[in-house]
Amino acid sequence: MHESIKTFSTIPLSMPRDRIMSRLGYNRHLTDVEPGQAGKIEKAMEDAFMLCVPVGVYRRCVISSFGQDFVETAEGINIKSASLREMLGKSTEVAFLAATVGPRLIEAIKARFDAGSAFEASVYDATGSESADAALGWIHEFIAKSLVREAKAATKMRFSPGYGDLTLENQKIIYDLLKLDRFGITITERYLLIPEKSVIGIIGIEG
Amino acid sequence: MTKQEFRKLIESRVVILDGATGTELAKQGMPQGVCPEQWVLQNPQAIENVQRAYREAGSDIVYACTFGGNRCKLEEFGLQDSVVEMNQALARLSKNAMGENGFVFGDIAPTGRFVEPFGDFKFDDAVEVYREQVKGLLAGGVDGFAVETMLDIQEARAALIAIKESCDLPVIVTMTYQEDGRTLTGTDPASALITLQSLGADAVGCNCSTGPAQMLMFIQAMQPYATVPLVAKPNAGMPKLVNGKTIFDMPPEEFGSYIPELMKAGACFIGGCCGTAPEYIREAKKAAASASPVAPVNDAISAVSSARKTVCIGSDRTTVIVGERINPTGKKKLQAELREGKLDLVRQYAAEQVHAGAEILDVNMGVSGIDERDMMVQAIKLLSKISDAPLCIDSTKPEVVEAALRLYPGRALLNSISCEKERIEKTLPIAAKYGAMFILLPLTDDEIPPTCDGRISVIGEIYAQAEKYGYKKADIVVDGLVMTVSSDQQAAKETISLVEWCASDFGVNTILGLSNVSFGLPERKWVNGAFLAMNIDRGLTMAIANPSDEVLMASKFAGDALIGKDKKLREYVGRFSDSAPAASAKAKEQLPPEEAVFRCVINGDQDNVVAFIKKAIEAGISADTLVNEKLIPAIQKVGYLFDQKKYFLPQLMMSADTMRTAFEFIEPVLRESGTSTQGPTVILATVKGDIHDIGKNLVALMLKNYSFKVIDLGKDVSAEEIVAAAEEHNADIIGLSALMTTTMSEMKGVIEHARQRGIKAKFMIGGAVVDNDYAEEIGAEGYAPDAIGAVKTAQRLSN
Repeated sequence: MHESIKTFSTIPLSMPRDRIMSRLGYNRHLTDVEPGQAGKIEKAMEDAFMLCVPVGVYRRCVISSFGQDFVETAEGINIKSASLREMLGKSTEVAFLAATVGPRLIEAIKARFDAGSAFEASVYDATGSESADAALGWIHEFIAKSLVREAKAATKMRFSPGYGDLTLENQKIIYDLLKLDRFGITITERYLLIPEKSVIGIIGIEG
Repeated sequence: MTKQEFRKLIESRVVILDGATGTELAKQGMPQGVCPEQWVLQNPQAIENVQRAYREAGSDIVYACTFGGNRCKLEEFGLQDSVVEMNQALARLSKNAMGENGFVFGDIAPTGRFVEPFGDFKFDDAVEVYREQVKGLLAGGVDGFAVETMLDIQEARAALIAIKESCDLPVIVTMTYQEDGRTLTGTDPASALITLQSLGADAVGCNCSTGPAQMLMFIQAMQPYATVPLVAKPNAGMPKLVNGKTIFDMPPEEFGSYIPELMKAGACFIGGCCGTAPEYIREAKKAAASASPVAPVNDAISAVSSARKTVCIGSDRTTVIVGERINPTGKKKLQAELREGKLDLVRQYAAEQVHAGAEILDVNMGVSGIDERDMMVQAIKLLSKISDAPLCIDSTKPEVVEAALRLYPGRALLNSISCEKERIEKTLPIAAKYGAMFILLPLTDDEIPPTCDGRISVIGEIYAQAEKYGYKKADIVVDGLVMTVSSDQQAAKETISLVEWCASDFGVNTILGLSNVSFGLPERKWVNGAFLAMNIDRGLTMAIANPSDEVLMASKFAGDALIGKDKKLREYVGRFSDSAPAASAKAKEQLPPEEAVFRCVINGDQDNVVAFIKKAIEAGISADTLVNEKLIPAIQKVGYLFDQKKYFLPQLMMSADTMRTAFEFIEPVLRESGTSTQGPTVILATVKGDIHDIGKNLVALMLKNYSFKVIDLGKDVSAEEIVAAAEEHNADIIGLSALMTTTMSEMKGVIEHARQRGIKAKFMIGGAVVDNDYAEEIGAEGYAPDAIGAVKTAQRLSN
């Protein structure tokens, strides 16, 4: 009955307004937005956020061995990356995380662009990216807070495949481990997750 | 212990709970990584030592060592088949430790799984898991239950329901809040309190996560809404991370110094959590002796909650609008969707109504030919996830009401209970079991009383029945029964009289389903708006309405403002003060039309640009002049502002959209006059294997605005297709996009293939993972970091 994969059917996010604005290039010292435009941008963000259905999963795995540039778990998951190995230096466990905001937003981005609103499409896109990332951050924080009672701590840093020497190919290993197909997420031959606004992360558990 | 005995405990003094158990067991020799429940059973003296120490320090109640005693947790140690036996034995150990000098509460804590609608653990499965544990604890003779350290309101509800369905012992429920004042799953203290006390918890509060200073704020946030005693079981300060370990370093005396303030805020049960030990409890006991407990301030409260929000109802606040649109009656599209098992319109209506000002959402799934119960459950799961607004469960069927209230992760409003036999005998007990507020509909099996007096009589009958289940006036909302004035002009007056009687004489909240009053009349909105305003004046507290009806909402805001419900007119001013877009459009009217065209592009005013182009052409300005002297310079200025970071991407795209709209109108005019020009041809594609295309799409739009002829091949396009298109269209430039490290290498393949085919077009590339160096490495002539950069690069490459 008990599964080691923990599932969140919804993640209680607040719209990450500042991060969306920042992603869109807003600079509070330089950028000048007139009230009418600000209202439209705000509404587009809100509409896009309404279309986000953030869900996520995570799984904790005990680290069984470290190599110079890899980490292996008791389940036989082997992740090759010197920088990840360095981040996990003090960790006894590793947690694999994934989050998605679902397919509805992606459909809406295309629909808005096709309807002649590149403005809305661009705001929707940024809202989706930042919401997916915020959902992953929420799971990270959830794990960190939950660890307090175990007298353990989560690493502050989080790695994602495709950055640094943690190659995108690792996405497939984690995809399979977390059984992401259960959420309607697929992975392409080039290791891209569909729907597009889906993200994977890795954190360490120390103590 | 009976619930009455439990309440009596706090009449004269604060009740002292225990402190941390895990760390105290570690001091007794419990090693790390073992199952604490199993270890205690193997080392019974350890728990006896710990709990005797707490008893001697002043604990009136200790928690049995069953924090991880549920099936899900014990399964991690292969002990899932011993739940009942272990809990029974552990409860008995604690009973022995406390003897006749105190009480033992069964400790119920998280399963580690996430319960629907927020997780994949079925709600009734969670109830069963807890029911099994409760069975063991009852067999062990516990005096009550403590549901503690709950992160998720739905899991707390599951545990509380399991206990309530198993026995009549008192239950304490404490949630765990973060520094931001919410649980990890987003519930605030007031919403949790309202949900749990209405569901039958005998005391509610918080434990763990924070020290007493932060916890004081959570207790203070709960106090105004409390109908039950509050509980505070803080950590010994905030956790600190030292050498990878969490420690708590607040000394016992400092811990004790917060107790009087916690008591003043309403905490009647006080203990400790992580980092506390018997000496902390001794200090707490000492400090508590210097003050008296503060009893709950309310015996009932007019408030409903979702998992993340509370909505209070009453004459001291503005009129609450219950959004009426999630109801298939008379809505063919919604009926069809529900018959297909789809909830897309429900989702849309929820979002639109909340955006328009609804604070509560009515949910009715009554359509012939569907399983109403199942559809109601699906709707509640969806709405609980996508909206913070509390729900009003609207059904006549008891089984639908029961399924909905059982699953709903908050305190719902039930629509409705009348004096009809089935409602009184079946629906009313269900509403009471789950603590729902309800709308009292003053009609009987035989009639809808036409007069105010007749309705008052029925209200009395229903309320007398409701009181038997513990309902108070604050828990009900009387429906004023709106009838149609076109068939009986006296009808509206009877309703208004009833609203006034409820507000002034009976002292209950009222609600009206407004739109019925105007049925059969033309321009119904005026009648509905006036009727609402008149009733607000007589004391109406709620209305079921379509919040997208602007006249109705204006009447509500104006009515609330005029009679002083809207304090300092904040809501009215907030609603109606923003008229900036209209002002901006007016300002453009003052300009010569060609200047207005320029301003439209600068401001991204897609809606008005064509109108000003028409005016400019009517004023004798040629289309060619408009393009070359207004539109192109305007978009160039926008590009400059973007480069300077004075504009950011949404503004750039608003202007680009405006340009596209302008060109769509003006191009046929240019062709007619023979002045149409077409710039160089650009093939654009996201390379094979890559599915990201938003950036490429924006580049395409900007290039078109600069008169490039753009052939956009889309995403996931092979080298062969790109080269074939370049040959077919005699391309000047080929733009390639890739966002991922695994797909960027495709770019090189495209360039090589093109060169082999003798294509002379120049290449430019873009995307998050590529840069100028990579462009040079693979033989591309240009790289562009963004849409404006792409225009500049394309202009350079085509010169």
